[in-house]
Amino acid sequence: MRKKLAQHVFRLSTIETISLNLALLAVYVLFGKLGLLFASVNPSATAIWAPTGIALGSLLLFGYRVTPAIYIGAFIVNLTTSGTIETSLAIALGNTLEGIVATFLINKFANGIRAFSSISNIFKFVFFSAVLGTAISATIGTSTLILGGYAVVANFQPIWFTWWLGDMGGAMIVAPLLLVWSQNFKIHFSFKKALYFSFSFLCLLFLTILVFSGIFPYVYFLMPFAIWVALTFEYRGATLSNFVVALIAIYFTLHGIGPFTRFRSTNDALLLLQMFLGVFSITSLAFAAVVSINKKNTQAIQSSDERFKALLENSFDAFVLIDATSRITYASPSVKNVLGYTPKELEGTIGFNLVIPEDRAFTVKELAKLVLKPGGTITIEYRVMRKDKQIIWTQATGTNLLLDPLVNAVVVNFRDITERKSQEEEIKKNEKRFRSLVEKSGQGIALLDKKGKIIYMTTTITELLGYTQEEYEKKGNSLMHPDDRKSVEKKSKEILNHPGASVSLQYRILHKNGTYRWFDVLVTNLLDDEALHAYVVNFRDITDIKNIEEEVREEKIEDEAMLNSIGEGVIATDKDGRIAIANHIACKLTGWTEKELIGQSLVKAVPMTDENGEKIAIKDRPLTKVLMRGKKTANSKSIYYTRKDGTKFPVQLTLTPIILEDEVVGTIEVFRDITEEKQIEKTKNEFVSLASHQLRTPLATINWYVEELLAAKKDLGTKNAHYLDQVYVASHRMVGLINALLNTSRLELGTFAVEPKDIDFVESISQVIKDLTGGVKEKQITLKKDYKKSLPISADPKLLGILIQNLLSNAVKYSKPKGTVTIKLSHNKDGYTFSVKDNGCGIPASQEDKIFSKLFRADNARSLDPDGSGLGLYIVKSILDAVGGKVWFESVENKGTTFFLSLPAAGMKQKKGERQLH
Amino acid sequence: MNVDETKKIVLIIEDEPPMLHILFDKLSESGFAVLQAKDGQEGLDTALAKHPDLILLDVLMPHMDGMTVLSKLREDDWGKNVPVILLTNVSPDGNDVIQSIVKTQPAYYFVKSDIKLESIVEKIHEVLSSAS
Repeated sequence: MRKKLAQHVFRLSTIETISLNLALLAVYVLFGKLGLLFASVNPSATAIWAPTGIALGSLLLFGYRVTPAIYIGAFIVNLTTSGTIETSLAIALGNTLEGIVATFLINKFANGIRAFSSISNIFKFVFFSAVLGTAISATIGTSTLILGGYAVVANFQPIWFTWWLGDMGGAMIVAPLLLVWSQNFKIHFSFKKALYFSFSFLCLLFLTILVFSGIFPYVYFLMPFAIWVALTFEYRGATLSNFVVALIAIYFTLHGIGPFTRFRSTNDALLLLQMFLGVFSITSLAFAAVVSINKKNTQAIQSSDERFKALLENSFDAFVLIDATSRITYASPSVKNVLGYTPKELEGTIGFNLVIPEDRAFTVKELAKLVLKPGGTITIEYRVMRKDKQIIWTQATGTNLLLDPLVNAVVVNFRDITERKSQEEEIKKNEKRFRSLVEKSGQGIALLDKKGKIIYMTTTITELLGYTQEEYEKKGNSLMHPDDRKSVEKKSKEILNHPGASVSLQYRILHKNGTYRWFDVLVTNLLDDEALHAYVVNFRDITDIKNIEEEVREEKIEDEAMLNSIGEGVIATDKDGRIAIANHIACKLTGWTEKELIGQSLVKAVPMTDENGEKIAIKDRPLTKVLMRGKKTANSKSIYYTRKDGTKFPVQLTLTPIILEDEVVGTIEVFRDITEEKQIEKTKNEFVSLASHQLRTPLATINWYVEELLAAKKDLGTKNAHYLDQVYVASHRMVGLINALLNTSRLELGTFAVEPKDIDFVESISQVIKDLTGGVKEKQITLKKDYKKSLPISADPKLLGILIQNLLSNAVKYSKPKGTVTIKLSHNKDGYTFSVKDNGCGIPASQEDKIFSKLFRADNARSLDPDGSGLGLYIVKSILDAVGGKVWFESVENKGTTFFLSLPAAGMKQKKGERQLH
Repeated sequence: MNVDETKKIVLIIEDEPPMLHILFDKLSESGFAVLQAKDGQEGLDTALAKHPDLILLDVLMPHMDGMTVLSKLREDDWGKNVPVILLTNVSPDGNDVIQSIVKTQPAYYFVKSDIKLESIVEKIHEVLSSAS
């Protein structure tokens, strides 16, 4: 109890207590004297006694420490009113006891100052304070007055009643006002609410005045307004309106106006008023209590509801409330994450619609079970279809709260477990696979006794061999392949007398279908094992493995046969260039055995030289380049491999990188000895050379004779002279063709020499122009010369002449009649650039890349000059390649072509060779 | 055969009759005293006997090829300085040929099909004028 009091009783210092008492004393005396002003039945008994309320309120608020103020206050009021010190002391005692008893009872049974938190406490409050407490005061007070001789016994009843009702008014109107407003002093109305309060309060005020002023004397009209104020503004509204109504009512009643004043004395009227005010007060308090309690409850529910919602909405799970028919009454926002639907889309729908048809029946059944089990919980897993038609696995926990008044639903909490499910599925699948693997791998175990009789055998024997266990036992060892018997018997003996030893056997057993199956058998001697006393035989069918092994072996043989039947050397290397495979031919060509080659670095094991016999550095080896660049390559220049014995052979090779995931992991080199081809090529070229020489003699003869005839043109006649001209031109063309052929064969043999001399480039050009046969004059071509008078160069005069001649004759040949051929020559620190520009037919774009190849002639060139050799530009290019120059061109079809050739500043590189070009 | 004393003497050693014929005609017309020989041996003999001012020498010939003729000539006191124009249809292929050319110092080496008859005459004039 102390504890309980301590909860709402302030701790005060002595001075504060005294000050409080003094203040209270003053208030008490003031209101006491005011009240007694209206005393009529007896000076000490008034119908309006506010101090009861003040006393009760302050006792409840401040505790019993204010007792002195109440007692002294009551004593002073009474003493100054009428009677002696004794009577005043007694009456004051009654007044004080009234408050103390009521306070005690209220604190104990009606939740003290929080009495207004429930309706029952309000009635307790009214009973303890307004009925019981006041009765004490009235009884003691009236008795004292009679005993003191201030009243007659006959008047006991009206005095007591007046006293009692007067105190009751104080208890019911003043005490609640003090209690309520002291605890809830702060007003934080909104403007709107303040306006509303003012309006309703003013309405009540106005009506009260109307009623009590007698203009409209129907008190019961006040009730709806009092209730309105109470409902709207609860205790504070109720207590305040009670107080104000009481003040107005008392004022008018005292003045003899109002509904209670007719036919009665002021005291009677006041008593009637007090009764009315009591009823009025308790009604409005009760309504305030209802609203307040309801509001509090609502708030409590709301806040816990909010918490609950927040919890669920923030949780990983989604949740729905469904009724017994699975209709969704509420869906948490997180359903959007799980199902793709918004809560609104789901609310009102049947929950089972989300479940995929295959799982619907069982979920319906589970829900039915749950519905029959109030408070029960189930957890099931099923699939639902999301809004996006994706099917997901969910795990749902349903709790039956249909009978819970707060919920009235089945709470279904669910989450997406698709990932987990798929993992499970994966595991299951693996397990299944594994099991089937074991089953299909055809393993089995048998236990044999000392004599080899089967004690136990797994049923797999039937699957493996087609026999029932009995059949197999009967046939026993007779099923073993005859070829395997000896070795099996021999090996089995090894473990006969060796407990713990085991032997591995492989042999064939006749299947019921007449074929032999290979078995891998492990026999362990566990005769000494206390639990087994047997040979343990683990067996498995390895026929398939045997077959595969056989296939692999055959394949390998095939591969080898293929590799070895290839007529070319094949060497495969790893990414470091070490030889991994070398076929028979590769060994034969290089002179090394396969064993010697494998594991060796190819570039070290097989040295490579160029045509001059100089060793090619490792960095320049095709293999190195392929490994670094990852591009297929074939040699274009002559290269030679060195055999084990040091001899060399010319080789044609193709190197292909093996690329795995963008990385070169190795190479395959295919190569062959081209000695013979080289010989054939040489013979061919020699033949061409010889044939060409022989052809020259008759041509030279024809030329010279024709020259002589032409020199005597006038004797021939115009027509004949013209014919002879044609003969001469054709003959010369033939000479040019033969020369080109000869040059080509020399270039290809690589035997031509380059012998630079200090010459004049310009002089060489002039020489070529002078020797130009045909074309320039006939076609009336203008030659534009764009160069200085002389330009020294170190060059082979013949080769330079061939270069200039080819470009110049081409330009003339392909120029249009009356065209212009521009010859340019320039020189700077980088070298010489010579160009010949024509305005002829040009080179078709599609054929530009072939223009320098042997025997190639552009389509339009062929139609212009069907007799061209197709060798000229090839020769130019070959010469320039050999002497360190370049040739290129710019061309627009039908507009013209410019050929450029460049030579290094140092001129032509010297090259030893057997032959010169013409 | 009359030889004009003021005329320069040119010996043609050529096994092909049509070639020999046209060369003979052309050089004669051009004012030379022309001697002819139909093979290498005959040519060498004629040269050593007649000491021509210039020799036109074919290379591929029966009995003795032109290079041999030239080598032998160069062994002779008179022959070592006589101007010789090699007139052939063989390109100077092979090191042997080139080396012997370097050794025997012909004035020119012409491929017949590449040179005009007129040019041969010009070259003869050129060689003779520089030699005298």
